[in-house]
Amino acid sequence: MSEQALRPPGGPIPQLGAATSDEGSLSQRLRYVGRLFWRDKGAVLGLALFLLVVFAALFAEQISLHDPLQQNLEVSKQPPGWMTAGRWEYPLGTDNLGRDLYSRIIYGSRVSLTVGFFGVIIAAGLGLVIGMFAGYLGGRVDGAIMTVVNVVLALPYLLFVVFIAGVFGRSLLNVILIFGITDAPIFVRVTRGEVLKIRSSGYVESAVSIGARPMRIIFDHILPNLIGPLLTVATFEMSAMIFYEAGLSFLGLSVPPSVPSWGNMLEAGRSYLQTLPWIATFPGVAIVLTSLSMNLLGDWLRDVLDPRLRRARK
Amino acid sequence: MPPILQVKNLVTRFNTQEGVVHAVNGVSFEVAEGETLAIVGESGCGKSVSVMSLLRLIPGGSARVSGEALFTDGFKTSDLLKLPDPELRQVRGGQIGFVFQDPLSSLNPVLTIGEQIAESLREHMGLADAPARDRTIEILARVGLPDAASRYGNYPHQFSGGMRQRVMIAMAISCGPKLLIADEPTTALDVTIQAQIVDLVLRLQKELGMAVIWITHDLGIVAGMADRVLVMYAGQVVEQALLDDLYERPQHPYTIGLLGALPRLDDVKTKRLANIKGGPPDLRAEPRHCQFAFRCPHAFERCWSEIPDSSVVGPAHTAACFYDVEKGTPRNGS
Repeated sequence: MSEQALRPPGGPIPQLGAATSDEGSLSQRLRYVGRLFWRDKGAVLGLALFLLVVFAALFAEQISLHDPLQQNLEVSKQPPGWMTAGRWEYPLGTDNLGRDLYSRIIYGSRVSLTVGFFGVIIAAGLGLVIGMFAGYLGGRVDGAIMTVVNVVLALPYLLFVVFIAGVFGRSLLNVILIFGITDAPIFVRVTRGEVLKIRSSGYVESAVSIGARPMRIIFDHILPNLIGPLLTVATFEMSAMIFYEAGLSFLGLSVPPSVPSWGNMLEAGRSYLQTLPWIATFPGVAIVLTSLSMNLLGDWLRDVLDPRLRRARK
Repeated sequence: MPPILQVKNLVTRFNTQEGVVHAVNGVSFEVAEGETLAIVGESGCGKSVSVMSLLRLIPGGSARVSGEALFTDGFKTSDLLKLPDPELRQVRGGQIGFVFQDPLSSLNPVLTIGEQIAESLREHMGLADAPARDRTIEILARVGLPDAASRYGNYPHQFSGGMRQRVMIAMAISCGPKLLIADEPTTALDVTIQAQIVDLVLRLQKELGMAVIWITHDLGIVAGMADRVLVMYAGQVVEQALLDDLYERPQHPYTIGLLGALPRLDDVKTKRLANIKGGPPDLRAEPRHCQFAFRCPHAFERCWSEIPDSSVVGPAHTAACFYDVEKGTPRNGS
């Protein structure tokens, strides 16, 4: 192994940019990024939490204990298993209609992750294409696009959501589309800024000077340099979308109340906050932890992808 | 030798928010096949802008370029300033190679250096991936990169500044250009590396039979390599001469000032270096008189009312000045 592996854990963080640290094969470089990862305990925690949520969403059928929709008034308002009146059959208790909270939280992760994932994909896709046009073409195209972007950013998105929900009804697809469109301006701005920076960089100038075609400059020189910043923004935006989706559900503007989603559960528990606090607490904890995990991961990504910031950290 | 590049009355202006900047004001020069032309002048005098205007490399679309730039390749002569984009792209990197000042930022950090050179080969010579790779390695070896084959897959940050400049040169010469334009390629490097880069370019020039335009503000480097020197001041060519002629018999007061500011081996140690008093003129004002008049020790009335044309002052030697420094009087006709 290299000398870096022998360093004490508290030693200086090796630099990606230093010529000695990442020369060699892809597997060596991956191992190096892995080392950076283990040094950041927040990132490890974030990844663990995030994987847990993804696991729950993927294998909801297998790990849930009850049908999340099944009402059973005989066992309604059960406290969590560890409380004196609780039964371990319902580990996190039941709601006022006797539905198992644990199973509902498991299934609720599907709504949150679907909205976050596809919302970000749509927003990033739109933002990337539009931002590239704005940044690369510049001039009037840029001015027009940025005006539209600023108008969209200025629109109160809640109003937008109420409108769409009122006209097209409440569905997961609508929420995803709304988030994808209203969040695209953030990606447009980031992409445009990066493209402007990259386009005036020395290496694009030298690529032009050896006769590279515009398409080549866009795909070979600009796109690879966009991945880092966009990935970081995407993580934070996904976290924000999960948060906002819960908010919309709470307001009754997202998925129909029949679908188990964390926001819906929160809303259902609102009236029992004083008497049956667990009904609202557990979905709330799920929202916070999921959002936190994405933010921790995003922080780490930003540090790794931006060497200047990484150097400043202890 | 026939000229491969004839620049006539090149004018470059920038429309900025603070007004029009007159960066290049009627520059004319020629480059013969296989010759080394050095363009010297202080920062901001329009050296880089002139050559970048030729290949339309100035980004942002704020530059207005006019004039003529006839480039001869074989039997075909074309005006670079009027070429349509696809043809100009064939010239860039194909017939004319360009080396930039800062090798640290001129290479894309996310692509291997091999890919960046092979890109040009595929583009201009239509090579497939494997031959492009072979030729890239051959070129890398040629510019003095040790162990070229294993360096092909390395990223720019794994190279030192001097090595990166070698890579940049490899990129510029990869398609066997007729003309290499080097825009202060040694400014960012330390002195020993500078010498290596100069030697490398001179060797490649002989091997490939290219002409070289070398832009610099370092008269020491010019003395060691150029055939001919062109001195620029405030966007104009003030003097043009063969190397020895310029150093022995400078005719323009600005050139004389520049040469006077050089430290010499036989100087007394305590002597202060001479300087040219004053600063360069504001390029936002349209030139109406000799731009050097502000700082010229010989300036007289006419210098403030007319722009001097280049006049012949010796064999292959021109100067744009109304004053004859050898006789100590205004030139004939003034």
